[in-house]
Amino acid sequence: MRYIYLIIWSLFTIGFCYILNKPIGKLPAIGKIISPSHGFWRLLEGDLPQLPDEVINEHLKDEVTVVWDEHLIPHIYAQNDEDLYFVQGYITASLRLWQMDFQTRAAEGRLSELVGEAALEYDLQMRRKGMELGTKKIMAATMQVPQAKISYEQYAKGVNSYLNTLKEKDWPLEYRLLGMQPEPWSVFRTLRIANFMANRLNSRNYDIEYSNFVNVFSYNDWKLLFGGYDTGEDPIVNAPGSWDFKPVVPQSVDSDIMSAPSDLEEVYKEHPKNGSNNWAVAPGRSATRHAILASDPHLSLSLPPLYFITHLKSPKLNFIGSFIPGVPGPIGGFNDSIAYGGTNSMRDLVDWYKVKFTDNTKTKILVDGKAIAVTEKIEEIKIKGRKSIFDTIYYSPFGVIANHSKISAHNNEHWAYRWIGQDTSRVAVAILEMAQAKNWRDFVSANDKFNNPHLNWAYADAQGNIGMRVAGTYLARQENEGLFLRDGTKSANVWKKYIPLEHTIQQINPKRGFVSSANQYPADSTYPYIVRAFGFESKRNRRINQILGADSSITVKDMMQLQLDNYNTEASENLEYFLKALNYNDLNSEEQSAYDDLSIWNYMSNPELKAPAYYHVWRDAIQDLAWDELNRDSTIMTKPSLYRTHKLLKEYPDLKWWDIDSTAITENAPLLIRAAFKQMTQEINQWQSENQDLELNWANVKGTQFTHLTQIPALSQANVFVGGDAGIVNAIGRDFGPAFRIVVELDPNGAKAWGMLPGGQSGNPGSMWYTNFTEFWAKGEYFNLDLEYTKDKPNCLSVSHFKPAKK
Amino acid sequence: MKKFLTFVLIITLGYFLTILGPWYLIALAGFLGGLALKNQWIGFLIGFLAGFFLWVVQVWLMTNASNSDLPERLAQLFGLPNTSLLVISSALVGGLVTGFGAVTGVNLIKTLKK
Repeated sequence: MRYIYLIIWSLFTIGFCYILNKPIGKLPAIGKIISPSHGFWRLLEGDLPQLPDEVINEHLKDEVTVVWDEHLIPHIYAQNDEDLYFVQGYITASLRLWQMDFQTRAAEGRLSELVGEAALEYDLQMRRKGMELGTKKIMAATMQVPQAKISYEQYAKGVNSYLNTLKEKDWPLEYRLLGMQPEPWSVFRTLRIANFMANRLNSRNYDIEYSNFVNVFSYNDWKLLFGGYDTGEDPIVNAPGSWDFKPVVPQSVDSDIMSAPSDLEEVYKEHPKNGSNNWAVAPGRSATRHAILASDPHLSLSLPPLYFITHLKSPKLNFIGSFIPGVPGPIGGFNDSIAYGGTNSMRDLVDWYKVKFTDNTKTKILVDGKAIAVTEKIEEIKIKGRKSIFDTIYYSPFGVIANHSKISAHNNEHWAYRWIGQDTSRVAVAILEMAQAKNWRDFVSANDKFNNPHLNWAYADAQGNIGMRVAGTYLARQENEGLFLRDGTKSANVWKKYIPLEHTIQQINPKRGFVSSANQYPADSTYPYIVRAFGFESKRNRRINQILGADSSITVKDMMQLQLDNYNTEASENLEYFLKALNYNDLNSEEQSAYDDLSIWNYMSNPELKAPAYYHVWRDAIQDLAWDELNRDSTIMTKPSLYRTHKLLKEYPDLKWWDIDSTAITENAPLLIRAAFKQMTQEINQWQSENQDLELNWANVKGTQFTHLTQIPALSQANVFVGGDAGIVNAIGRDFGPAFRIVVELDPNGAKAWGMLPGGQSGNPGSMWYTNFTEFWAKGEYFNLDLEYTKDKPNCLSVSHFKPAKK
Repeated sequence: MKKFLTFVLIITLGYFLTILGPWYLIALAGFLGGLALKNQWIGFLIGFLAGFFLWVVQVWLMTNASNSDLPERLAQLFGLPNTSLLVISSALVGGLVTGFGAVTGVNLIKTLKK
C-alpha cells in the first residue's frame, strides 16, 4: 500500500515542478521567473550595475580598458580597431542583448515564433517587403571592404563571447517572459538592423491612398488637396542658380491613374510623425567663434531606448555618439575634429506596380508584351502554438510580388512592392568611415556611401566649417511619378534612372552662417530634379531658421534652448483665425473658459498649460470633420496635411469639403471650425471624467509614454511630463520624440559636447539605469560627453579589463 | 530537535542545490530532508516552512540590495497589488515544491522500512 503513496507523491512533485518549469499558454515559466536562484530577482541591480570585471578572450590582440562613467556610458580604450569592435560588441550585448536579438527577429519577420498568431500579419509584411533581399545585397557590399569586414566580424564575436558567458539564469528578463532563447550574433544580423532602420525611415508612401482618392473624387481635387508642395520657401539648401549641371532625364511611361482593388490594404507604413532636427552655426555666428552643431533625431520612444551612447577610442578613432545596439558604427556624434547628425529626407522611395502573370503557374510576368521570368521564394513563418504558414513571394524587376491573401488577384494581376531597401547600400561602410573623418573632404567621401537610409546631414568641424548634405540614392522622377499605383507591364517604368552623386544637394559654409534641416523640402525651386515626398515638414524648419538667423552670438546654451523650444508655429499662424469663427456670447461657460485660455496663450506648448491641450484637440477635430468624406470602410485614403488644411480653410471658406456629412446643414469653414470647437470641449470633458486624478494640462492630455518593445505596460514608462509636439522644434508626441539630443562645440583645443537620451543606458528593467535619464530628458537637461574621460574622474563608476588569452 | 535540524538541513541543501542546478532542486532538498522524518504531515509542514523561509530571505536580501522598481513592475504584470504579495506568492511556490518533495521523502523511508 505504501508504495502507491510513494509513487503518487513522486509523480505529483515531479509533475508540479515540470509544470512550473514550462511556459503554459501565454504564461511564462513561473519557476524560472520567481525563484530566487533563477528568477528575475537576480536581475535586480544596486547602485552599481553588473558589469564585467575582467574578461580574458582569445579574440583579443592587446589589452582593452572600458571605463564606465557616472551615466553608464562606456569609454572603450583599445590599441587597435579589431579589439575595439570586439569589446564594443561584448559590452553592448552586456547591457542590451535582448533588444538586439528581438529587433533582428522583428526585421526577419519572426515574431510569430515568440508571440503566436497576433504577429502573423506583421511577419508577413516584413517578408513581403523584401528585407532579406536588401540585407543580402548590403552584406555583399560590406564584405568587399576588408576594414569593414573585420570590424563587423569582430563585433559579432564580441557579442557571442558575452553570450557564451551567460547561463540560462542570467538571461535578460524578456527572454523568460516570452519563453525565448538567445540566438548567436552574426554580421548578417547587424545588417538586418541597418535594413530595418531604413524601413523605418524611407518606406513612407501613400500610393494606394492617392490612387483611391483620385478614383473616388477627381485628379483636380487631388491637386488641390495633395498636389504641389506645402511650403517651398525655406528649403534645406537655398542656393538659386547654383545647380550647374545637366540633370538625368527620367523616361517612365505611366498612363492613367489606376484604381486599387478595394481591399488593397494599407500596408507597410511607419510612424507618420517621425522626424528630426539638425543644424550647425558657423564661427561668425557663435559666441565663442567655434562652430557648434546640434542634432536631435526623433523616432518612436521605446524602452529600451533606440540608442546606446558609446565612446570608442583607438589609434585611428576617438568618437562619442549614438549607436543602435547591434550595429558597431554610430548614427551621429563627434570626434575631436568633426561632428554630424542626420534628419530624415522624407523622399518617396516606394512604388506599387500592377503586374500581370502570363498564366496561373506564376513563373513569368508580361513586360512590353514579352514573358519575363520571376524568382519564386517560399517563406516559412513559424507560429507559436500552431503549424507554420507558408507564404510565396516573387522577386521581379518591379519589386517583390506578394501573394496577398487579402488583396484581390484578378486575371493573374498582382501587386508588386518596390522599395529602395531592396537594393544594395554601403551604409555599413559609411558609418565606420564617417566616424573617422577629420574634415569635410573625408566626410563627403564617407557620407556618399550612406546611400540608404536617406538622411540630411548637418556637419561642423574644428576648422570652423559647416556643411549640409542630402545624402542617399534617389530616383530621377517625372512629375507625379510614383505618387500613384504604377503600370508594371512596361519596362520603361522599372527603376533605373538615378540622380548621380555629383548632383547631390549639398552646401558648405553658406553666407547666412548656419545650415539646418528639419525634414523640409530639400532645395530651392531652381534645383532641376522633381522632388516628391508624402509630406515634407513645413514648420520646425522656419522656426529654427528664424531663431538662428536672428542671433549672431549663439552659445551652446542657446542651441540647447532651441532643441527644447516649445513654440507652436502652427498655432501662431492659425489660432487667431480659428477663434474668429467663434461667437463668444454663444458659448457656454465651459467653452468660454477654454476660449479665454486660448485667447491669451503665447503659443508655447508647455507641459503645464491648458491652452495647448485645447488647441491640439481642436485642431485634430477640425481635421477630422473637414475630411470626414475620406473615411470609408472599404477604400483607404489619407488626409491632406495640417498645413494644407489650414491654408485651404483660409483661402477657400466655401469648399465642398467643409460640409460635415452627418449634419443637415451645409457647413462652410467658420461653421466647421465652430463645430470642431464644440467637439473639442466634449472630448476634453470626456478626458477629464476618465482621468479624474490627473490635472488638465497639455502633458497629461498628450500622455507621452515610452513603450517597452514587448508592449508590456508593466515594463513601460507612462505619463512622462513633457511639452512640445509634432511640428514644434521640441517634437515630442505621445510615442515619438528626440531619441537622442546632442550639442557639440568644435573647439580646436578639444571638442566639448553634451547629450541626453530618453530612458537609460541599461536594457535591464531591474536596473536603476533603465530609466534614470527620463526625468532629465523631460526637463531638458544634458550631461557632458567627454572624449578624454579617464578612470581618475571623481564619478567614474567602474572599470572593465579585457585581456588576450595567453597562447 | 530533529525536526529543527531537518528544517535547517533543507534550507542549506536547498540553497546550495539551486545555486548549482536548476531551481526545482529545492524539491530534492525537501525530499532528502523528508528521509529523516516519519510523519508525512509533519514532513510537508517542515518542508513547506523551510522552502518558504529560504525564498523569502533570499528575495528579501536581493530586493534590499537594489533600488530597482522591477518588483513593482512585475507585481503589476502578474496583477498583484504590491510587492509583498509578489514575495509571498513566490515563496508560497517555493514552500509547496519543497513540501511536496519532503512528503515524497517521508513516503520513501516508510516504504523502505516496511
